Amino acid sequence: MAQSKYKHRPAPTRKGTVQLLVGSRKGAFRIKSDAARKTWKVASTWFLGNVVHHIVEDPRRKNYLLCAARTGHLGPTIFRSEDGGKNWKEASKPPAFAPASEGLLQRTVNHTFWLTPGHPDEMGCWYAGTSPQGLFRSRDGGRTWKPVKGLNSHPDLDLWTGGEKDGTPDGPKLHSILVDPRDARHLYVGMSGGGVFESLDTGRSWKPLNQGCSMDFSPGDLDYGHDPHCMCMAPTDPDRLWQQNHCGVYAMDREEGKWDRVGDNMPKKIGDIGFGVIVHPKDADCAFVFPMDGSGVWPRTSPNGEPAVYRTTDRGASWKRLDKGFPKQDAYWSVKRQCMAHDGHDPLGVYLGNTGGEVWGSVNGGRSWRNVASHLPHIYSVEVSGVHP
Amino acid sequence: MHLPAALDDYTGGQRRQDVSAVTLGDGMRALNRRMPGIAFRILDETDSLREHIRIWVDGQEQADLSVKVSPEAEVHVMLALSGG
Repeated sequence: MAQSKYKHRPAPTRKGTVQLLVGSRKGAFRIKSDAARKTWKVASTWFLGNVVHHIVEDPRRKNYLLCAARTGHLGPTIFRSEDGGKNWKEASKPPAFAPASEGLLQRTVNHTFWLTPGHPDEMGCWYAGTSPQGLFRSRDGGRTWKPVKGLNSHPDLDLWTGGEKDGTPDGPKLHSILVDPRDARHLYVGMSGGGVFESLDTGRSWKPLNQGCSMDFSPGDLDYGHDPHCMCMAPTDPDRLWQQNHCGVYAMDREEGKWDRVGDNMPKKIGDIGFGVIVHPKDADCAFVFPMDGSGVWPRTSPNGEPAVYRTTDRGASWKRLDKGFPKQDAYWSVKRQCMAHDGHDPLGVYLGNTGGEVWGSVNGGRSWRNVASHLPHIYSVEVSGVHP
Repeated sequence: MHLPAALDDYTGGQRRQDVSAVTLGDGMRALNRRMPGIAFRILDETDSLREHIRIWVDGQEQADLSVKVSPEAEVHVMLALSGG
């Protein structure tokens, strides 16, 4: 991989108060802690009544927020704030598909699902992933957005994504946009459905990267059409990728180019189905997942109504159940793919939002959990202000 | 044009807007020039109405932006009983 002038260094350990940015089916919320991360309160409510899929602070520019929103009736847009959420302005040109190339389906953006700040060398650059699957880039801090033609107009896009029947219940989507911190040209995306794809030229060309991934919803063994639920890149080793897939938990060392189903090492009665995955900011071998019930008709709830995070510290060779503080029974919630985050502190704070409108946090690397907020709407995303993997 | 409360952020609460237009599409474009961004909340990138929005022109429901409108036409943009 070609090196940029930017010398990659993982972010320094953070300290002090933590601010969680929560997107939900009915608005966005900021939840603030005290310096010890013991007490928490909902400090801001934004866009009440809007469906907010993602709200992210730019780690390159303090107090610069982007928020992807729509309402049940009104079309999708992106708002930005340059003052930490006091004032918001709407994108003058939100993500919208260009007229389809000949032979391709005409897509229209239902919602923007995912926001990723660009490379540190490229101030003002952001990426957005949409439902249905589309990749968009802004060069001006989210004011205007253009389609990444190399993907959105790729002649094989319809083949890769499998059509309307391969969407998720909330619609097919492009997510997990990862920018290599060593090289702004090197990108990964996940598409549900479609699979993981990689570009080495800032999105002009793409190749599938799904070898080793199961696809038990398809009779064939294809290079594409998979269902990655969430993917992340280790800050200490950008060649280490983690993936929570429809069909298990995987790790990849990029030079090998093959996904390794490390979720096979999780307890069989729990399984390795889930939505989210995050990786420790200082340890590429340490990752956290939240398993859900993927048996039978796919309840997508905590297995047996007993929520737990599972953590590995040895690249998935073994997993530890972390459920201290969570309800012991009858808790049939789940954690969606954008709803796990860490705060970069030491000891590490880990946070999750659930389908029941609760936010839970652990300030000791997952050993014990506390309820941070309750009674919010169905939570769609959780990010920590200033931290973006 | 009569606009719903959901668009108050654009209209500032002035839910009646007078625009000059030959077609319904012209009217939407005129509205968007006055209030940038409002059209994309109502129409998608193919100029089709959003799934849960309906438009009436002089009491007749219309989804075709090429339909001609009279100088005195009353256009109602309404939220459908769905989409919440």
